[in-house]
Amino acid sequence: MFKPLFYLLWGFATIVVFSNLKCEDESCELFFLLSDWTPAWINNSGATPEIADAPLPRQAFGIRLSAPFRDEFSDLTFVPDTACSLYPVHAIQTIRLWTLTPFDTLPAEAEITQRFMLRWENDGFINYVRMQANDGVSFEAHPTKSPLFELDLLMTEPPTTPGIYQFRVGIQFDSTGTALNKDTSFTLPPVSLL
Amino acid sequence: MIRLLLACFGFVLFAGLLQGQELESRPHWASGFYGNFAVGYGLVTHQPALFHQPVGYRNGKVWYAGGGISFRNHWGIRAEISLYETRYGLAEFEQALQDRYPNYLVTSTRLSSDQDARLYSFAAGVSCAFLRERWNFQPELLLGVTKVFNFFETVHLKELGTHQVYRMKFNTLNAGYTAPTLSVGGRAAWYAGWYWGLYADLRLQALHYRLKHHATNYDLVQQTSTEETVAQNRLAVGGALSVGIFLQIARWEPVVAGSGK
Repeated sequence: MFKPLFYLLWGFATIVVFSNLKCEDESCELFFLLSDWTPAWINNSGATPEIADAPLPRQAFGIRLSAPFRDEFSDLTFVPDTACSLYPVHAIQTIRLWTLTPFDTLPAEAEITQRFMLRWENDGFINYVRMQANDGVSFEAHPTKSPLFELDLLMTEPPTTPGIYQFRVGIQFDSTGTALNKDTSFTLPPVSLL
Repeated sequence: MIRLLLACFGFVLFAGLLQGQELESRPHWASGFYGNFAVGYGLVTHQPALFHQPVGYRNGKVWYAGGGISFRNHWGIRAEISLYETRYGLAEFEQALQDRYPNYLVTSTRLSSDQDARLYSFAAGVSCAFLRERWNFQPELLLGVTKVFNFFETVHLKELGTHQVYRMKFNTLNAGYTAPTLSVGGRAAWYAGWYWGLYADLRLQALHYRLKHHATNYDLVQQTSTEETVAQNRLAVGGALSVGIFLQIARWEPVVAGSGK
């Protein structure tokens, strides 16, 4: 009499127990390190900045800094489809620029960070960030399928006269001394601006 | 789409002519309830615009479902719901900005969904039937409301040759509202059987927009913005051609000699 009822309850209890068992979700967050920066000139005369050779129009001149995504072991040649967010292990804290040649009334070795703006694009929205206000800007949560991390620095206040100019870039992370995310400072080759 | 509708309409006419006077003995008028379903094509000829370009709707397919009652004096009451499958004129809007700012490249973020561009209407009104053999010509006047979802968009204007970019954001201040709607038209219905038939419907429609946008123009280089509110109260005028089927629960009236009906 009670046997069918017992089996029914047993089956029901089994369903309840198994339906509440969950495997732990694998994280879709991907952490990356940045090093081995490669600089290039960009021309922003068109719709988007494009890598170009000098001479370049100074009204549309910019610098693109590229670095491969790396995890602790190797370059990430592709970003997995399962990645939902990309986080730098150490966020970029400041980016600064200096001129190595006279720049308008400024002497060589003067800082010209404020003459540049950082451009980034997210979901079709273009954003410009003032470089001196760049403290604490973290480039998080912008999933990308590109194997390169790219920073476009646009010279929004160009020199008043054409000529040969040379710049130096310094990138400071919020954690210094790390093997791969070490602070970077490098000198770019001279560039002719029209 | 228009060719298909014309073909359907032609079929209705052709089928009616083939039938001829086969059912001559049929009484000439059926009063009672009926329901109808139709599909057609809508044209919008005049609608609200920003920068002289429509931000409303493109031409598209229209679905109708309705019903009504016909009285013995040939007047009737009708009610109807319709769905107008349309799309926002984003490409035209971008082109209008491009024409306005020739030294800039215009790109849109395409925030407005075409799904939101659908118009849902309810209308009710009066109709009157004029009979001729198996045909029933039924002019009608309907008043109703249409659920309108307003257009919103963000565009970038990139100046050629420089870093200058303006981000223009058009936020709607009345995202969804109910607009009064007037529909004037008529239908030619053909009785294929005692209680059903086919019809073609042609109508003009006017929709009153209360369009209100908040436009923000943000200068990315200077990091400054200007704002303005654009409000428009105007009519969108259009038309629709549709073909459909109707079913009737009717009581057939006998021929009244000399009535002409």
